[in-house]
Amino acid sequence: MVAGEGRKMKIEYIDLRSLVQLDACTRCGECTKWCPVYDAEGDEKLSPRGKNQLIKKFIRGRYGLFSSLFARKSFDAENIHQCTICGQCKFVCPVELDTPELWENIREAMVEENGVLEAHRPLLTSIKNYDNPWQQPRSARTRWAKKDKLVARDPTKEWVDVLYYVGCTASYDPVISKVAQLTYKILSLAGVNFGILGRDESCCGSTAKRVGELTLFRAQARKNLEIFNQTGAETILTSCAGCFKTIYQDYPRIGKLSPKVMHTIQWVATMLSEKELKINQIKKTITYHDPCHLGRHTGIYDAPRQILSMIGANLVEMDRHGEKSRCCGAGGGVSTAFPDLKSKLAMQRVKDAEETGAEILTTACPFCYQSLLGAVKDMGSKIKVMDLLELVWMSIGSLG
Amino acid sequence: MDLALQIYEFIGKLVEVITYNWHPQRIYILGLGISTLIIFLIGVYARVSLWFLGRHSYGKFFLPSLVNWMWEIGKKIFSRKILKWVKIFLVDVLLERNFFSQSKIGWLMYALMRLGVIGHFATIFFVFVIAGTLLPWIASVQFLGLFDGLNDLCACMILGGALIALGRRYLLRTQSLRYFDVRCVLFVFFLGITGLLTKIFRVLAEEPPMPKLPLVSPTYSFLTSPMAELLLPLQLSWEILHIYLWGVHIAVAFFFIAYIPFSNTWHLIAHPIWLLVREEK
Repeated sequence: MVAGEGRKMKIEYIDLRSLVQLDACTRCGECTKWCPVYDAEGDEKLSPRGKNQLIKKFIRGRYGLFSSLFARKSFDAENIHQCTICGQCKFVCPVELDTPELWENIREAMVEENGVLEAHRPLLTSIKNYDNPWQQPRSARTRWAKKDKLVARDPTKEWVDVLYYVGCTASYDPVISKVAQLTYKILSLAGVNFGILGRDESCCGSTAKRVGELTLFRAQARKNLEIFNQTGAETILTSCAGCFKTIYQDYPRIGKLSPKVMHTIQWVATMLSEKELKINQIKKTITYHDPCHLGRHTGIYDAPRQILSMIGANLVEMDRHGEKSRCCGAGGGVSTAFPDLKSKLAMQRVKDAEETGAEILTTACPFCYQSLLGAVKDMGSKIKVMDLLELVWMSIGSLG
Repeated sequence: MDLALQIYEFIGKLVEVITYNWHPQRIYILGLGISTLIIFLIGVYARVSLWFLGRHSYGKFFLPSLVNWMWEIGKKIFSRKILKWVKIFLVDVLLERNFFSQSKIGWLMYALMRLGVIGHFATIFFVFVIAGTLLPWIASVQFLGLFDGLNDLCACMILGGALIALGRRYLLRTQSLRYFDVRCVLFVFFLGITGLLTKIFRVLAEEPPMPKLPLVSPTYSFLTSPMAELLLPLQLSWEILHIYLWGVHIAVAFFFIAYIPFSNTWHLIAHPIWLLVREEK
């Protein structure tokens, strides 16, 4: 039996909104034209429409008035989890279904009855035990700063204007920790009074939410909200698109969040436009990959493009960009549970980037960076993957 | 007392209208209508009761929850934002603006069928209920002629939409239509064909839509009148053909209505409801 097969879900955990949404689907198939997973696998059951049908059949079979006739008591949960929750289907749906909310809600209902997928268990256990999904000790969270002897204020003890929330990926992944280091350097260069929580920083819970472990997500959110509100910082800055979406969009549904939340890219764009940071022009042909959490989920499309324009880059857009940006495959628990699917999606995105003829493929999300970098290596592609902050640092660092 | 008397008289008139000249056609319609209504309501209950098994804050039991929910929705619609809801209904539900921006041909296909069916039901309602029974004084030849023309137009729209859908599904093999509900389209197509032929046979049989109404206007019926002229040389028993085909057409129409909550066409009802509830968190 395939892991995830024969699973059930409790209807009492599915919102009335979600149940209405399931029925409102017209089966027009517009989502199938854009869904990156369906595009990669070609299996109707993996398309948003197919998933919708599957869930409806299961619900009617288990709970419906004629449930003894339909007799569908379980279904294959893998189909539901083979989705990055990129939100593309929401943007093309003619009846405006809020599909990311729907998929997360369905996953929650499944987790409530069956527990999480086996592949996700280590991640979630790690969040519970170590406050990060990377199975690393809390003490290693500031390794990125220690390496370059970077010292920041502790906002729980000292007053700061900006709380830099580093996020788990930039804290623990040695390749991506440069994003944290560069953010630190740019903030210092701009003379910002900022601090980091260091080993007191907890996972934002984004991973838990996307895979359906809402109990853990709520616990993480409450813990973070308490500490964020206690610091008295005016702004929370994060360079991770996943953390940004979670804190900015999902936390206010859990409790009151006093500080303003910004992605580093928004802050840098403001600094550059207000001439707070001096810049050198970089004459490079660059294409930008919109991370799903930063683009479709939170609507930040302009700030990264403004930055690229201000630093003198020659921006060439991929066919699918902005609202139609193709997902790199890293989100929604797919990279852990379905690595082959993630690779397919990432490779397709790298192909999109190669078609533009750009030298550099840039993005503003450490998760996308990881995924795209892996695909470039697997494909032997000549395109260089860089975080947008690296480009900003290339432009301002030499002057600093 | 006056009001009570008026209500009593109105009910009496309604009963008189319904029971006036009991003949097989009326009994047939009434029987089909009541059966359809019962099946439709069972289907609606099956669907809506499932929604209330989910997480919500409207109450513990189905009926009070449903009433609370409908009350909340009613308050939302009949508020200062009523114009916003009217606009959403017209632009997003009836005209499906978002679908138009995604796929023009897909939009045309659905719009033709949807607006055709709605338009057809509206003309039927006007001709048979308003002009035929309640307000017979408005049933002039010219006025009803406009509805004859509209009816023909609706038939063209329904058949056009259904043919585009079937063509895209089976001839062009459009990927997005691989799993759409073909039964619904076939229903709609059959409804259109039987309706069109019923009207042609009625023209040939020289029968009015209802005893007191005028005959179909050849001036306005741009499709059925020329087709009737084409079929005239066949010299068949048009009256009998008309009666039987009318029976089939009515049965298909009622069956289609009863089928709605049991099929994917339920989205016709769930979509506007979704638009009303989507802003709640």
